[in-house]
Amino acid sequence: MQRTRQWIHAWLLLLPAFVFLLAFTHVPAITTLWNSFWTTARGRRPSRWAGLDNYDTLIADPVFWKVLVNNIWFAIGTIPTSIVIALVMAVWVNQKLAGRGFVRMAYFTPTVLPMIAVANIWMFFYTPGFGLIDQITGLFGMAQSNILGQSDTALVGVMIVTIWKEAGFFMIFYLAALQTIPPSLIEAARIEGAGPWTIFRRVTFPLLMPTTLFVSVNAVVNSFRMVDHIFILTGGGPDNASSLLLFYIYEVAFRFWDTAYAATLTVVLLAILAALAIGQFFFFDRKVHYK
Amino acid sequence: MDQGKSITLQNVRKAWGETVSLRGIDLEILAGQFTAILGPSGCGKSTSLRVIAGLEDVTSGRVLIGDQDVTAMSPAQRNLSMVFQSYALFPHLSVAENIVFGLKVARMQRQERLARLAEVAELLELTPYLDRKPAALSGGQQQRVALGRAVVSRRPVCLMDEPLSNLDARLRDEMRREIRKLQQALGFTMVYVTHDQTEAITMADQVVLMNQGQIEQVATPQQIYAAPATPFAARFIGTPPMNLLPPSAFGALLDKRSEGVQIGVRPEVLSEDRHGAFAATVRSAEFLGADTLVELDANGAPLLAKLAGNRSVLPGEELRFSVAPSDIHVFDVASNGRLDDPALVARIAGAQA
Repeated sequence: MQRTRQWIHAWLLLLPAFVFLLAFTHVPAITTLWNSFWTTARGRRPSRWAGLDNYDTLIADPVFWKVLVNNIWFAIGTIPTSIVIALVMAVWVNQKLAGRGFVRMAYFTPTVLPMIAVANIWMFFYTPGFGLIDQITGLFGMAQSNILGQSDTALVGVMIVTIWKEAGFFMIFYLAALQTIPPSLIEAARIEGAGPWTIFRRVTFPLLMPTTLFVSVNAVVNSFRMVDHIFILTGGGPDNASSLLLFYIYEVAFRFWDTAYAATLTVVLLAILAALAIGQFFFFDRKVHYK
Repeated sequence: MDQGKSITLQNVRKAWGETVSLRGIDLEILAGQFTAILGPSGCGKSTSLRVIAGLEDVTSGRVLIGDQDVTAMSPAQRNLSMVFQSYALFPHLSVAENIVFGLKVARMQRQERLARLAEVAELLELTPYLDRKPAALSGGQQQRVALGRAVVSRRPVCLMDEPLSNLDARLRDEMRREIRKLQQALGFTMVYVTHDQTEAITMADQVVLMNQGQIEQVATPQQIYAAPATPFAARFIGTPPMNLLPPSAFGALLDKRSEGVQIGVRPEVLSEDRHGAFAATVRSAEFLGADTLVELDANGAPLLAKLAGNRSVLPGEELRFSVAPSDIHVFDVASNGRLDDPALVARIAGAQA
């Protein structure tokens, strides 16, 4: 009797959060999976069971492969760079230097800005002819550039904006982690004869591993999730050169109104993210020292 | 084995803005000796140690190790080792990796490194724990790992900053003996910072007593106990602390001429004597087992006396004491120093003298 009461209490306490998680995460995920096995309803044609037809379409879809490869390059290009920059900035602003508070704030500013605003700022840099970059290169007599308008550089332009935005965010995590390292550890290493680089390599960096794991999981998820800036900067073009998986899903679902195919793409995205997150935990787990 | 090197501080000052931590320290730490820097918290003892280590810059003055001026050198260049209050073990490294950290940094050959590790592990009884992480060790074992890391590189100077303050009383006694043994066996120069007079007295060859950024006295533990140089030294060493009395406490024994002095008498040297010259009234008594601590009133000044055995006294009772002349310390209030005044001492010692 007593036990039953406890169970009821526990479930009642869990219920509100559980309902919201179900309603907004798990039910949509399962609905998406279900929808991916049906055709999109059009006009007088209701949707009908399609089995794996949507997945066949997906494998045969060159745009899907294009955006997937784009996304892989996007991840490879942004994740390590933004993590390294974040770490360097954190180590830098963790030192005693004049105006430290200002520098910390300056590095964190991009994180506070909405992605749309960030993209607009960078539009001002990238605009051919009178953008900041062209104005500076123009001083040296160089020709105009059109970074976002050319298919071989558009993705790089988008990646730079992402790195600029993400590094400050990750820096905050590294900064917090750096401040939990007792100063006496660094002093002990100095007494033992270690130089700054050895201290970083053998003491500081290993102690930051839990943070690195956390940050890199976040970075991977973000690289498949952040698309706001693409709307402003390139609209996925030219010729899908800067389109990413999620942006393509948006286009398929809300421009082409092919919701079933969009659901199929979403399932693939979910599978990729789950595999990456699990893989990272297993890969890093052996190398991470948790307190 | 490198023999220990001496350490010299010459007029070392250390200030952070307005806050002055060291007010011109001159100190000679002898080679191969165990020197304890003792003082209350905030007296500058840890700062002195960090200045020697090179973890703090000096504001002015010079630091020498051996014959070499190391004032501008980094901690690594000073060739010393240090044990921190928190042990400062690297939590992500095993015990073995912690101990050989410095040897690895110095790129010592693997074989030699392992030989040194085995030797130190044997010496400190750490052999079964070499693969563990520090978090899986007890406080005493962590302490031993920190000691191991300090002695494995055989540097001539070892600094310790209150290394025993995180241990329980029983373990502290044990480690005290162990550290002393280690220092004597290996012959390095030890500078040991503590606020605990027992540690300083039992372990050190030389005690440096500090107060408010200045050195009060440098002497052997015996000398500090027998002849404290200042009223502060007199009160800091010995439990319960020495009685410091104004001349008026001795009533008719002293006259106006002895104004401006303080007379120090340790509670344990006051012996009851019916013909003693020094009288005081009992206020209360505490039985401590081997002896009795009596609180008295000597002409208005509070006085503590430690009487042997279970001497039952009643409040209001008058006790008379005699004190051997060698147990009476006279301090000049104005100069804050010790006075040699045999005539004054003789009058207090009274009939016995």
